Amino acid sequence: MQLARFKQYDQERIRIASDNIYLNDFEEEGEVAPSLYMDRKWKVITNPNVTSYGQVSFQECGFIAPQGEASVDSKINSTYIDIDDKSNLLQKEIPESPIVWYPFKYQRATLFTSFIKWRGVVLKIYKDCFLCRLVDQDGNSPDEEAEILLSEISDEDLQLIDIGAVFYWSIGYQTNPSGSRTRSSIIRFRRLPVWRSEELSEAQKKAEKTLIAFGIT
Amino acid sequence: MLTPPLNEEVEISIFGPGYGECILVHIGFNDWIIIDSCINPSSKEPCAVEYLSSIGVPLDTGVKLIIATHWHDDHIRGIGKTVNSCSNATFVCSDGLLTKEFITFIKAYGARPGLTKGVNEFDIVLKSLETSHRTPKYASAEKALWKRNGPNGKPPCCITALSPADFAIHLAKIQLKELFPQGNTTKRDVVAPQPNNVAVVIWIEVGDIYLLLGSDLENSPDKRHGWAAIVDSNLRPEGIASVFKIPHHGSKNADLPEVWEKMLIKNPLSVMTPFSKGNVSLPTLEDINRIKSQTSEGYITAPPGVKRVKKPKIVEQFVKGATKSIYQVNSFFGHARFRADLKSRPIDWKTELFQSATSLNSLKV
Amino acid sequence: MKAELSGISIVMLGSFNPKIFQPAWFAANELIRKLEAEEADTEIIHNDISIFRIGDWLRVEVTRDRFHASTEQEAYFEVLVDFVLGTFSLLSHTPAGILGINTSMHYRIKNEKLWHKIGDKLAPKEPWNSLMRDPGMTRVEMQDIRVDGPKGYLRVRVEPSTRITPGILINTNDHYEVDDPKNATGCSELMEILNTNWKSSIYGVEDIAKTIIG
Repeated sequence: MQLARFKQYDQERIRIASDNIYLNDFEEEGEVAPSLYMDRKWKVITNPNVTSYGQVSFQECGFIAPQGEASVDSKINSTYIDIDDKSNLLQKEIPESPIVWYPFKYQRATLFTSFIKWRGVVLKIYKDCFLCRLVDQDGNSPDEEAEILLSEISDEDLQLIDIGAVFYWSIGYQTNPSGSRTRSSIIRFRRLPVWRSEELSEAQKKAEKTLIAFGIT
Repeated sequence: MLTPPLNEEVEISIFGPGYGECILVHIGFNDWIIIDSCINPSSKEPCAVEYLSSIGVPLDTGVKLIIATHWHDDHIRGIGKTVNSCSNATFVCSDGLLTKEFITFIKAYGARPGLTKGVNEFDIVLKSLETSHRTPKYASAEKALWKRNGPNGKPPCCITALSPADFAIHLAKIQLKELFPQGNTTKRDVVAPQPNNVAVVIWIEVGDIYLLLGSDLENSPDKRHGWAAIVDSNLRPEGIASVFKIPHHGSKNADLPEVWEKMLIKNPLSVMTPFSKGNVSLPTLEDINRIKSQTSEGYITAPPGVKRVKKPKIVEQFVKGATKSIYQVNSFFGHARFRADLKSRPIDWKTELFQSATSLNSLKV
Repeated sequence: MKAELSGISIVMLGSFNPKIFQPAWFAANELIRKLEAEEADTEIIHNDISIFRIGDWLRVEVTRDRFHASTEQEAYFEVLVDFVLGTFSLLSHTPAGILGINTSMHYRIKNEKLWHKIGDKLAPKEPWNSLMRDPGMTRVEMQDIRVDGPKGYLRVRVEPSTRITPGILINTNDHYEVDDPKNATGCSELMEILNTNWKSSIYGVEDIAKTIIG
């Protein structure tokens, strides 16, 4: 799919650039440089009417529909390219930054409805299991401690197990795109970036500020 | 339940468990002390704030001191909100904690709420103190934390820390240093280290009534810290306590016969919170019998042991298949309250037990 | 109150380089599993736009001025937040000044009578009876400006669900901005906002649902 969409997208850009060669910044006699147009940053707008479960939902943060955004700045109200629908081509003013409208391809996703979701912390590690504390994320049941078998953890997540490591455990029903429903248990360890020296320096600065506020220097 | 103590009544209220415990002491004339914090599992509110509000105590003026004998979230849940609400209370914590290293540690983890947990409460406390321009106080062995000299007919009161000892502070600093994150290492939650080297044992004198609040302090083979260091100290305040908050959930590790012999009256009013985690349940039957041999006035805020919460069948099936064992942590919750008239002799403690609280004599073991 | 179907998305507006947002990059930085990267369904990776799916739980779409990550599996809500926080912790110099935390929650209603009652509560039929023969609510959208905390607003949209019958769909758009979004020089402030507010933005919808559905 990647190659096809990429090629299609790129071909459309080249075609538009060729169609608009008169828009180049400069033109030497007998020479045309469509690449200048190609080198400009193209503004890609994906369809804001993205659907969730087949129904339109918010996908933006203050995002405005293509027509609306174009009307905000008429200089970029130029060429719309729907790479799946060539009849959508409109040419009005000289574009500063060409706009491409990349339509959203809705794909039915796998759904998951949980009965319970725990946040777990590893407390101790044994040969075949690890001891953890489980906190119900909905707050409906008290905290629990469990010895979870290492065989329940995916191979790549096994290397993340250490004292203090955090994971999420959800148990519920999973419905795949074809509609089949299965019971499912998902344990996934958190992947967080490592402590950066900037973060630790920032913490030191905050600590110094606090100590000064407390009169401890 | 909803009536406050009289001006000339001492009250000690203990709540728990709820990940940690909370002790409130009324030292007469609407002056209150809060030690540690826990959350009421039903209301999800800090016990101290909830209780004091329910009996009409003004939090901004009534609470004089808030003492944290731990620093990990598991033991002081809700203390941030408590410090915020009690806007004029002095905050006290162990001397081992107000160091640049520890506060840097708090700031590193606290800066990312939700990202890593374990010290968020302490971070909230520090922020609250900074915002309200309150300077915290540090507790160490034999240090006086608060005094009321008895003006306007109020009985004199003195609150003294009996721990941590200097050596314990030194151990705590080493322990905390190991927790500090290093650059290029993975972010993880902070797991509470054991034992609690910063446990603050409190001695309260109100008039001639003495209270010994044992926190989580355990024994140590090294007499430079632990209970032996307290009993052997010739600098600790004089007096014999009539009330004892039994340390560390009544465990054998925190019991020292010399404490009962030298620091407590015969048959003292004794109270503790239980601890249930995994297949560890404190106090054990042995612990209960040992305590009963020392006092007939023993109380516990909830019976030790666990109960299973019923979950949907699908959840039970998966849990059974994925785990070797699973236990609830701290199933029950209770509140034990004791009030006595400061002037009546002998001291007559009125006992009231709420929710799961019970006497040791009533426990079915 | 739990939704029967739910999804969230995290959107940022700023200045991005779509070409670096590839499954392999995320795996190399241990933000996703290596196997997930190998099995990723990549729609397009280009200077102007990148779109790919990871496993059955994550969709990422990046254009030069917009980053969008979404999931429709409740088990992965926190994982998605970690993914975004982790990504922009590594790319903290990416200029971005606007953040949207969006949710889509489909709730099943006990019966059609109650379903109509909800519509009548949000958009009473009475003012329309003189204009229409059989008026019915198709969609209601409300906005609340944030007065404390970061600049922004909350938009809530309610409409009948087409996936659950009888059911309603509640969409929320929790919009946050830094003080000067157009001149943002990095995204640390935005990540701080995400880190502090994601839980209330995502799980706060339950309170909205309780109020609307009753």
